[in-house]
Amino acid sequence: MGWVTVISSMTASARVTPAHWGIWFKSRKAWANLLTALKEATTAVFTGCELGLGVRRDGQGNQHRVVLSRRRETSRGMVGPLSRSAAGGFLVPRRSWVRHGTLLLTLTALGASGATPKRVLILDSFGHDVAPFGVAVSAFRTTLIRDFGQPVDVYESTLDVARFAEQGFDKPLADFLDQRFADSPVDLVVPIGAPAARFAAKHRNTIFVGTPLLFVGAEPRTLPPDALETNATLVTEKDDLPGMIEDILQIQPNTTNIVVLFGVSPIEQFWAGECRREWEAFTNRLGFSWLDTLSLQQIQERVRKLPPRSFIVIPLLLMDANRVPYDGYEVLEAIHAAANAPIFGYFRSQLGRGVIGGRLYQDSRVGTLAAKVAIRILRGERAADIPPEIIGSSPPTYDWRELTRWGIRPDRLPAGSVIEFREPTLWEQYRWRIVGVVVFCCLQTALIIGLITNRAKRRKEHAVAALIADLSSRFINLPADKVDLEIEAAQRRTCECLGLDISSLWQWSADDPDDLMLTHVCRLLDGPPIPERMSAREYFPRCLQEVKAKRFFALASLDEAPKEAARDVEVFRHFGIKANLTIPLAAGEAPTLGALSFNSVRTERAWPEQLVERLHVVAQIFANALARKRADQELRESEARLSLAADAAGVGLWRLDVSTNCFWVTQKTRELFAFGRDEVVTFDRFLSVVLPEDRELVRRTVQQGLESKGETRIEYRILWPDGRVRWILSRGRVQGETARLTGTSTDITERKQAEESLRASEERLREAAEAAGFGVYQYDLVRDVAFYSPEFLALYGLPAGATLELDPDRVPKAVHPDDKALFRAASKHASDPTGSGMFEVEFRIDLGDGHLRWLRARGRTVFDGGGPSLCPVRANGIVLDITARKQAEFDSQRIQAEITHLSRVAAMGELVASLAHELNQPLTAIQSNAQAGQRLAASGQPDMQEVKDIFADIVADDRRAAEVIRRVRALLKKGAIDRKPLDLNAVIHEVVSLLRTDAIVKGVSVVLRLAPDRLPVLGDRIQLQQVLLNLIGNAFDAMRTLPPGERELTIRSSRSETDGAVVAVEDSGAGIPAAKIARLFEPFFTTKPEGLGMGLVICRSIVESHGGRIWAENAPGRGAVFQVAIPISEDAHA
Amino acid sequence: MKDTTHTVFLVDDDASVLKSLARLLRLAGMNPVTFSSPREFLDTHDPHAAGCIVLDVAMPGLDGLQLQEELTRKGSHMPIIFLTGHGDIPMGVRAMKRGAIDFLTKPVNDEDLLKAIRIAVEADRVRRQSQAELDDIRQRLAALTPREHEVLCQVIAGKLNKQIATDLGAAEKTIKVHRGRVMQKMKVPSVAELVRIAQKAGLSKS
Repeated sequence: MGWVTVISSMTASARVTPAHWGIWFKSRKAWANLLTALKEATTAVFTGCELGLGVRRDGQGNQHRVVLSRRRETSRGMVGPLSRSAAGGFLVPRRSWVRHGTLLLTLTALGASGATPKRVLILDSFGHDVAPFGVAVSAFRTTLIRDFGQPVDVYESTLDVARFAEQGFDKPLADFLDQRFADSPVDLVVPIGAPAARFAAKHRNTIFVGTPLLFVGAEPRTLPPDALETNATLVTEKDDLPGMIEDILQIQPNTTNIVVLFGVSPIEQFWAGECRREWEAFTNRLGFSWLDTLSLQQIQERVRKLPPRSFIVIPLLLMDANRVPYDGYEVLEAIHAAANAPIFGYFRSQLGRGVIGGRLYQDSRVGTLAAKVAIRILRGERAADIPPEIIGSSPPTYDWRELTRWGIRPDRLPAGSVIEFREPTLWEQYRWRIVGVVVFCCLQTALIIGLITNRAKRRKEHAVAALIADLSSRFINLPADKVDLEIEAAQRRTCECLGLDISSLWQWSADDPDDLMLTHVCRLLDGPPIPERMSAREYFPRCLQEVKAKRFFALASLDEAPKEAARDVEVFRHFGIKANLTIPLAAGEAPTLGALSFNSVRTERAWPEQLVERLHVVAQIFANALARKRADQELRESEARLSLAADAAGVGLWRLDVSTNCFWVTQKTRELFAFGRDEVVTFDRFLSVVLPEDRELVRRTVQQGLESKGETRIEYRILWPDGRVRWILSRGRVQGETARLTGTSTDITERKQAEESLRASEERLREAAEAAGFGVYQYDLVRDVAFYSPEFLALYGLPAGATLELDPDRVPKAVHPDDKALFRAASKHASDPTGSGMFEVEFRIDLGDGHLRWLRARGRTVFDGGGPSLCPVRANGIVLDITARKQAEFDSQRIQAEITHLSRVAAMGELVASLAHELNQPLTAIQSNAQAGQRLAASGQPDMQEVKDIFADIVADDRRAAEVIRRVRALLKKGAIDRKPLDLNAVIHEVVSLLRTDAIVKGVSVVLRLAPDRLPVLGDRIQLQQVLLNLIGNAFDAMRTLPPGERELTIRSSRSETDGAVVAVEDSGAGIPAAKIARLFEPFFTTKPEGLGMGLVICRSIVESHGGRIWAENAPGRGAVFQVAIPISEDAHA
Repeated sequence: MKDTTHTVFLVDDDASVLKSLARLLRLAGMNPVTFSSPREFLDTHDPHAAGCIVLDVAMPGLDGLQLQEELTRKGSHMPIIFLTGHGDIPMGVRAMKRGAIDFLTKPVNDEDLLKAIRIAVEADRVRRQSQAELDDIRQRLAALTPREHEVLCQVIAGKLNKQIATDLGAAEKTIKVHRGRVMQKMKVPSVAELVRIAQKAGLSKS
């Protein structure tokens, strides 16, 4: 069985029966073409193949198969020629070529047995190529071959009636066909178009006997009446000629003229006639022009100049008046090219070639439907059984380009119209591009928006940055008094720049350092009034707490507020604040100055870190400004204070700025230098007032001052405009920058004058001292340096320039040993910081040759320092020779001693009675004891113990009597003065014991209130007793007139810091008349009738000889007080 | 011969004088008590004690004369012998005027002192006796009713019963009864005796 199978994967396959090879071709050339094509195809197939040729036997061994396999080969090379040959009317299916893969070609061996292909004869009215009928033919044939499924042999023959209808070719053609198909009758005859239909119907009884007829595209009117009666059917479309005109009027209602183009061939004339008839109804409205008498050229000329509102209708034009046949669409195209009016066509296939459209004849559809009917017939159905199929007219179809060209609006078209060739709208045409462009544009727009946003953002950033930069530069050199205003402006600008509504600035309250007070506020919007005094503790306790902790307080929304901030939130709500940021105001690490708060009223607002940072920078700028303002204020205040203080002290302040060579000076300085009130004081101006001889010194000193770091000091003279010369002391110091010298100036003219006069006076004093024979000494106690004038040394018997030898206790060695204690005491007294500093002592010096010289030194110790740190720094004084005076004094002293003694004796005389009593007491005791003893002895049995006691008592009383006598004798004794250390209290006791009886007799009670401790003094016991005797006796006398019970004598002793040991004798008498107090101590002054007026004089001389003093005054209550003060002498031990 | 019924109160501020005098009196058979200050004496003195006081005139605080005044004020009439260091005549006169027994000068002779003390003690005894009688009379007087006292006054004025009745607006018989009761209460046998004791008691005839 010689099957050769070529296996290939292909999308379509065709079986070619041997009958195919026997197709009749019009010319030899066609054959040749076919052969060539086959040859090429074969070659192409085999050369492109990878031959795997082999024989496969089946199990029975009766089948051989040769496999020719071929890998992926495009077979276009082979198909190309076939396609070309098909153009010549050959039947090779257009789609029978291979796309990819392996060609599977099953070839039935020639001569092998198979089904006979059906034979179909197409009778074409006008020729295959004649438009528009060719379209229906092609559609029919294509559909038939494709859909039939069995081999079909399609013949085509054309009547070419357009050209030949009137020349009687009907018969020869019929004969030709008869002969042709005599041996092999066709299974179906398909006449296309009315001429062919009429031909077939006419000859069916001769050449197509028994063959079914399928009329296609023939208007029933054009068919013979019996055409469908025997074994025939019809497929066509119903004509609607009036519809054409209606459509024209529909789309162009104002049309007045319709030009109708028909050829001169019979079929055309037939249809022209049909049209004339059917359009009769429109002639009253429209003018019809029938141009079937014109050649194509003439028609062209005509349509070129059609009147307005014309329409051209071209149903069919196969042959013009000159009988020139036209196959294709050239007529239409030519007219279209020339016409100045729209063209209304008839066939569907005309659409796109120049007609505007209309209810077009669907030639292609008719062909397709006919093919389907043909298949039914070929499959054995009787044609007569298939009812004629007359399809309705299609929906009106229009060429969009033409509509556009003639300005016909699509909305004029009849309902249901279809528009073709709509030039795709930009959208349709460039959908993706548009989408792309739009997307691109969108992206671009988005990008631009993004960029713009970004730019706006950046611009905002820039604006914020610029704002901050501006604020910082604005504040950097802002005068302190403008800070407040500028802060408010800056708050406003910050708010505006950042879209904030309220900015408030708080500072620590002056009254309460734990509270913040609102000091600056800026509100862009209105709101409830702000209280005059707004305290953070009261309104924003939470914020205050945060600020104290140096923390930021940020609130994006009041709902987020912590519970602790309830009060703050309440206040926020009151002011309509929806978001708040509070920043502690602190310049760097310095303590907080307050807080800066920003608020949003319009919206809630988050506080991103960047914003907070920006605002923090603003806060720092404010903080720096405020800190500087505060510092400036303090500086101003301190400067003002300093200036005030300096003015008050008469000190002028100044500052020399070397860069400008100008002085800044206070008003006081102007006064000092007699500068004008507003005068600019340059350095040269300043020098001009300095005395010429001092100028160089001043200039040099200023220069030195600028170069050195320490204080520079200069005294110089200036000349006032009135000619007076003033001394000025200026002190200066470089402060801060080296180019500035700051200092003070004082007018020291008075001091200078005082110094001058002091110097002169000192000079005079020294001269006077020399003249008076004073020795002058000066001790610098700090540096332990002594200065002695030559006279001083001469007094000590030393030559000029010699050194005075001192004991370790600074007493000169030459001082008489007996006087050293005095000298020491005086020296100590003088160096007591609490005392007067006066040094005064009289002493003897041993001149070494047995002579003593009495010297008197008098000086003063100068102390320095203050309070407890007061210490002696200098001791100055004079020494003079008082030997002569002392001698005179000695003489007078002797006289005075006599008087004193006499006075004492007199006083004793007054005491005699009392003294007798003092003696009587022991005598009484002695006598009583003695007589008692006598009685005892007389009793005969003496108690010896009693006797012993009696004797002991007698002896004791006798001693007592002797003591009294001794004291009296001592007082009466006239002896030299004997100064010894004594206890003043003991002296008082002795005197009181002497006077005891006297007091009793005189009815005076004596009260002693003595100092608890010893009162050591250096003195003469008898003399001091004499003083007390005198004072007490006076007191007794003063109380003589008082009732006995009121006579009271009080004796007090005490130690006084200033006066030493003080004894006060106070009586309760009438006191001393004020006028007499002052004269009490004058000689011969007495208040007593029998007084001598010498007692108190003697008392004073005794007391003063002891270095003390005596004075009298009236006691606060009654009586008089006489007081005696004797210097304490701690060295004195009684 | 110890006399312990009378006490000699010695007051002197001089301890040795006090001691020697006390010793002398003791050896003379007397009963001395010493006081070193008038105040000490006053604070412990019993006005009814029998004896006398030997007092130094010159003492600090309260002198002898002042002490004497103080004792008188207290109702004590004890005799006082003053001792003085020197014969201060004016003072002695003042003392004697106020009832001092003697004014002796120191140093004092023992016989003079003892004699003065004896006189003083005797005077004290007499005074005390008289005082006792007076107290008795006053007691009796106090027992009389006011009417009787009136009647007594009339009687010692020498009025007759009749006169008294008229003066007092009472019956003579009633007066007689009163008079009898007065005589009875006053424990007197006769009108003359009644007049005597009435006079002693300070009731005058008027």
